[in-house]
Amino acid sequence: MSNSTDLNLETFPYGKFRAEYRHIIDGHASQPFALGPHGRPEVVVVPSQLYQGMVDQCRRLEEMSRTIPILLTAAQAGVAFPSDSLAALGYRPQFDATRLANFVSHLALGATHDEEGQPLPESHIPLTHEPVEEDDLELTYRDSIVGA
Amino acid sequence: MLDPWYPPPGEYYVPLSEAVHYPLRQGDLVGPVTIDGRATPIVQVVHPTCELGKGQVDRIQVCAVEELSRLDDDFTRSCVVAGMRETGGSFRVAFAHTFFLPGIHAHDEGMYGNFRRRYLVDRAEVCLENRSAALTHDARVFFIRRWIYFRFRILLSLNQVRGLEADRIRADRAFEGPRPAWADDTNHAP
Repeated sequence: MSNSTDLNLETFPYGKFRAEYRHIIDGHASQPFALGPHGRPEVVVVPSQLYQGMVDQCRRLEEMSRTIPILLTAAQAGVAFPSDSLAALGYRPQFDATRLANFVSHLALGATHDEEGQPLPESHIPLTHEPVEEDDLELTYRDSIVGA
Repeated sequence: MLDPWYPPPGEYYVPLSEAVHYPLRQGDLVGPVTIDGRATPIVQVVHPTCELGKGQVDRIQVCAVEELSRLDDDFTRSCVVAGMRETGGSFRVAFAHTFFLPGIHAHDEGMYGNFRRRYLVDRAEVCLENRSAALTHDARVFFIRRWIYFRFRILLSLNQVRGLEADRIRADRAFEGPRPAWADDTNHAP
C-alpha cells in the first residue's frame, strides 16, 4: 500500500519497500518516490540520472548567481551585453557600440574564463620594473653590401 | 579579476589639439599606409615604442584595423566591444586577438585592432604626419594588457600593467611629451 503526500510523491512504508524493493525501484526508473511510516515521507529516493540532472542544475544556478546581477544591470541599462543567458531569455536590445563600451568600462567586471572556458589564472606575483640600459648595438650581416 | 578590458570610449585618444605634444608610440593609429601594394586607410602600431626612433628599423610592425560594421552580426560586434561574453554562468574572454577602438571622430563607427593580421610597413609611412590618432597613456595601459594576454596568455591586472608602465616611464631618460599623472616622478603609488 502506498500514499501520495504533500510532496506529491508516492510514499511506501519501510516494510513494503523491504519486501518489494526491486519491483518498486523498477517502477520508478525516472521519478522519485518516498519512504516513511503511515504515508509520512522521511526519505526521498531519486533515480541516479535524475539526481545527476539536479546536481548539474544546482551548479548552473550557483554559477548564474554570480553573473545574474551583472546581466540584470545590463538589461536595465538596455545595452547589448553579449550574453547567451540573456539571448536565451529573448533579450536582444539594439546594438550601440558606444553605449556598450561605456557600460562595460564602468563595471567592476572582468573575464573569469578564457575563450575555451577554462578558469583564468591570475597573477599574484608582485611585479616591479627593473630599469635597464639598452645597448645601441645593431645586428650586422655577413652578406651586407659594403658601404650600403 | 575585476578589471574591464577597455577604458571608456571618451578616454582613448589624445585630443587633436594636444596630440602634437605626443611622439608616436605603440598603440597609435596611423594611415593611410601601403600594405601589399594597396593603400590601407588605418592601422595600429604594435611595434615597441622605443624601437620606433631607431635608424636601423626600416619596417614598422602594425596590425590591421577593421570596422565593426564588417562583422557578421551584432552579437559578434558586442563581443568585440566588451572583449568578453557571458556564457553558462561565466564571463569568458572573447576574441582575444582584437582590441576595441572607438571611432576617431564622433560620427565614426567603432573599429578594432586585429592582432592576428600584422604587417610590416615602411617607416616613412608610420610618422607623426600620418598619425590619425594618438592613444592616451591610460588607454595604452589597456592596450598593453590585452596585447600581453593575446601574445602570451598571461593575464595581468590593470594595476600591475599600470605600475610596470609607470616604473618604465620614470626610468626612461628619453621620455618625451606629457607624462601620465600616475608616472609622475613624485607619485610612486600608481
